[in-house]
Amino acid sequence: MTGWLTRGLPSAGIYAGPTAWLISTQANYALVPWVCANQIRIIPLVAVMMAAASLLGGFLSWRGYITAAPTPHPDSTGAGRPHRFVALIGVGIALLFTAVIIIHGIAGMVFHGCER
Amino acid sequence: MTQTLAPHDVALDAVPEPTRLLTGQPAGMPGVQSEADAPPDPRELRDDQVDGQELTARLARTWGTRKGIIGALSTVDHKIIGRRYIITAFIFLFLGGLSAVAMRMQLARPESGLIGPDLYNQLFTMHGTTMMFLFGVPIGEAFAVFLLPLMLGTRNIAFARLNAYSYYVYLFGGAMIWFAFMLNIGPDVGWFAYVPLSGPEFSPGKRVDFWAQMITFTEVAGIAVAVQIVVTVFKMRAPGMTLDRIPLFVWAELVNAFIIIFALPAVVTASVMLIMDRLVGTHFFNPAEGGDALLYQHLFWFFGHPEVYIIFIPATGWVSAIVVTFSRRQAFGYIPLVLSMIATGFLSFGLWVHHMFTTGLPQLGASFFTASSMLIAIPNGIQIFCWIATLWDGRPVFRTPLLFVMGFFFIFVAGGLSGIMLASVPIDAQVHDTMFVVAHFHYVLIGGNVFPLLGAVYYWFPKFTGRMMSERLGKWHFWLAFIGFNITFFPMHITGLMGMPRRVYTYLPEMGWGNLNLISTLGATMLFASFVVFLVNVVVSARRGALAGPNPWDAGTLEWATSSPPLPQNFDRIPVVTNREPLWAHRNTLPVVAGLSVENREVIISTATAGRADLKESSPEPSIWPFLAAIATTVTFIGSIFTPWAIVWGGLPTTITLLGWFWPKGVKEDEA
Amino acid sequence: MTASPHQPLSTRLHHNVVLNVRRLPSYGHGSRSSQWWGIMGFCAAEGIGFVLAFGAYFYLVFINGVWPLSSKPPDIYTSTFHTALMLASLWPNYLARKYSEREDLLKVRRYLVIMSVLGAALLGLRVVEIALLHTKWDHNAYGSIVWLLLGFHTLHLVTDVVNTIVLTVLMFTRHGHGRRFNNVGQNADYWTFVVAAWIPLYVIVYLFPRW
Ligand code: HEM
Repeated sequence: MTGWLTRGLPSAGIYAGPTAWLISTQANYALVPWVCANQIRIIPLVAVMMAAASLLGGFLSWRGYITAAPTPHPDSTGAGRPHRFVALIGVGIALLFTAVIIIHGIAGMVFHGCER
Repeated sequence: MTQTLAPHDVALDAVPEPTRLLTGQPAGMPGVQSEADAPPDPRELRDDQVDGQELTARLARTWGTRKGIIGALSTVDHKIIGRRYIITAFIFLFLGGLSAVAMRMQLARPESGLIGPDLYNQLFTMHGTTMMFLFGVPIGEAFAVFLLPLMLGTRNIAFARLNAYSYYVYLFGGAMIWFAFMLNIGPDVGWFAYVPLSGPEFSPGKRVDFWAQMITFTEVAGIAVAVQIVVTVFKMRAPGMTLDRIPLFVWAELVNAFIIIFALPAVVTASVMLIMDRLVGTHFFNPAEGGDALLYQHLFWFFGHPEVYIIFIPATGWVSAIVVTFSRRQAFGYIPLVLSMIATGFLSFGLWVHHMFTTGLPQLGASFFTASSMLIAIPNGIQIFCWIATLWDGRPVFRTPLLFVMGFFFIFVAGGLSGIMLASVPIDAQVHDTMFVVAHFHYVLIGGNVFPLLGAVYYWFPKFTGRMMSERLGKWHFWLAFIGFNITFFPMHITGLMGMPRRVYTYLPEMGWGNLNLISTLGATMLFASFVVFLVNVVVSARRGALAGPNPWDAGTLEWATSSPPLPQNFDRIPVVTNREPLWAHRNTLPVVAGLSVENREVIISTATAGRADLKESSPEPSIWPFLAAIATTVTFIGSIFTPWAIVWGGLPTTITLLGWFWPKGVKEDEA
Repeated sequence: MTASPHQPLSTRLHHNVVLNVRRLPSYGHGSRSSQWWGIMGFCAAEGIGFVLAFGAYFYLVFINGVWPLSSKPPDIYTSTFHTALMLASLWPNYLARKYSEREDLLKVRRYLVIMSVLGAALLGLRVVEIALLHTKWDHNAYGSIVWLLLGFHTLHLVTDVVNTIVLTVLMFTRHGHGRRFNNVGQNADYWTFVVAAWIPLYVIVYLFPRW
């Protein structure tokens, strides 16, 4: 497990970010009536958890970037290292989706859930 | 990562040693003697034994299409099918455009009697449906079918017979709905055919049935092509084309294909439910029996918002290709560009409820979707920034393709601004269902798709036909289109804010919308004229244009390494890729692979990430069966509009044709 | 720049052969082959179709509150048996795949015959099952969605069973060698998808209305 954490997984962020975002939108959307009825602000909590999941994916991608074997030779554009490329894309996607999820959380703090 | 690369003085990028280009793995499991590993038949001629003209001629025979009508209908050449696909999609664009012109004629003055309400309803429905389903989705795929195998350095698209089948299904589906329209049974319920209006109660007759059935089968064809695109990109790249050397256009088509695979099933589900409600009495959308109309809207918009990106993302690919070539430098920010495309792809699915703001969802729920719709501006912004930076840092050459890209920047950004206005809920409620919305989405759709598309046609026309298009007519075309477009659609923002609703066939003079509408119609005439110029340019240039040669624009991607138009085999030998812009890295000699068969259709299958050559699979021979299967499918689907039993009795011929398609014939195909 | 001077029309780039692929295998098993990726693509599209149909089912549950509306829940015995048989079929399916990779013709034939028989039996059971649904598609929204789900899955079942039978016949002809083993493996993968789609469907259609 720890070995896996240090070695990383280049593509992790590409799945983790969007998946966390999907769960966040769907779960929060489904929770709105419940939030309205009980007045418990659970949405920021969900958002924080999902943001953490997304960031974890980004972290694994980043580890993957650091440790990626430099497979083929890079060319004059720097290309030719597909694993590092995938890892960078993973980090980027994870960060972007973390931002979206955090905005969900903020919306959850601002609204009561009963507004129409 | 993005240092400037002056095409003329770049050093030859070194070719990696062969161990990095081959996997060298046998096919047999440990201890198993697999037939796949048998040494090649020594009698079979391979391309390391012949060279030059002879190689070219022999390969052209192996990969060619037979003459005659049967030959033409049996072809599996991605270039022939791609060309047909592009032309067909353009014909639908013109048909959609003509219906728009008819609507604009009617709206030119108040209380005009040119077109009655029933025909008007059919016109806007046919216009929307044609543009979204018969032009918008297929045009991106059509370009992919033609260009992807060339850009990736292979000889055909994956599942070439399925490709032929998909094209025929699309063609028949589109033709069917236009025939229905000509017989005055065209759909009249808007391009999204909301229930209950489109349900059995409010729309008796066959009109909506044609619509729903057309959706079902053309979209199934769309999904099939998307799968072919994904497999071609992942498995058929030339050796050495690692993931980070894939041309940006190919990335765009790949992301687009994924969106199609995930979005189109939703609209197929919706249309199947709709037709079942109408034909066999199910109750999906019937509240009296436990159904619900909003279910349709949810399903439809699960597709409908990604649809906008299905239309837009291939355009980003066209823009990237054109901007790079005409700036004469590598793309600035390859990674951010790819990142933005992927992120846009994902985010596009998060927006769907945004279309139902006025249906009374709780605000908190809606806010999650607003967040996504606002944030999609980030990747879009990044893309625009990278393109401008590429142009800024390069030495831009303003030829017609680049002009259209400039037009795209301008119109698309303007459309984005009105979109941000719409994304805020209060404004949306205000202008919902007015001409403001019509103006907004035409800025996005025409700016975001049609302008880059026209640029792409000017850019790749030499590859398609071997001849250049006229620059002079091209400039006329651009300015007429650009000015005509703005004159048509800008006033609609104002008529919308003044309260003019969409989808009304006429209005009263007292409303004071007359002048603006007249201006819009004049603009539409100008837009129409621009397309006439375009057509003339295409037809004349295809016959008499200047000869183009393999690489008229001095571009860097692989499609320009072969003759224009390409021979059936695409490349005499498969290139080895060592750079993102291979032709800029290797100006005089192209590193290539040898050892493929000259007598049989063989293609290299490579690994998905590192692009190492792994297998040499065979690629399908031409066959008439896909065409017959498409006919059987079409008959089944049209028959089912009249009796559900058609599914049963149409099943048999369909199965037979599929068997004919897949049953191996003779040695050629059997031999792996 | 048209037909730039340094690029005369007829020039083909000179070829510099750096790699020879003569000895590459002519097909490969599993994810090495292009077909496998195609199958995965279609499974993804159809999988989304199933997910959306499940979503529609629960949407209707949510809208109505009472479920299964005014109908009786469907018969559970046949379907449970059907499900058990489906799960059981995964084993010969796995073996067919395994031996196809070993290119063991006799064993492949054996397991393909078993799979064809099982498939036909499952189709028969499916007909009984549909007869015992206790509702019709035009009865109410519940009937509609249940029929849609079963119909959609039955379409997959029919397709794969027909495909299996055709392949079985093929493996008994002179075509039964080489690349065809690859098709056996892919057919097995698709069957796994058909079973995987059935499990949630069974839970939703048969167990859920009884809770
Ligand atoms: C070529 C010039 C075009 C003109 C002059 C034009 C004009 C119009 C007009 C006037 C309407 C509104 C009809 C009404 O609501 O009363 C309309 C609707 C629409 N247009 Fe266009 N259009 C053009 C191109 C396009 C393109 C390229 C697309 C998509 C790629 C498109 C997609 C649509 C859609 C989806 C609708 C809504 C149809 C409906 O209400 O169901 N249009 N167009």
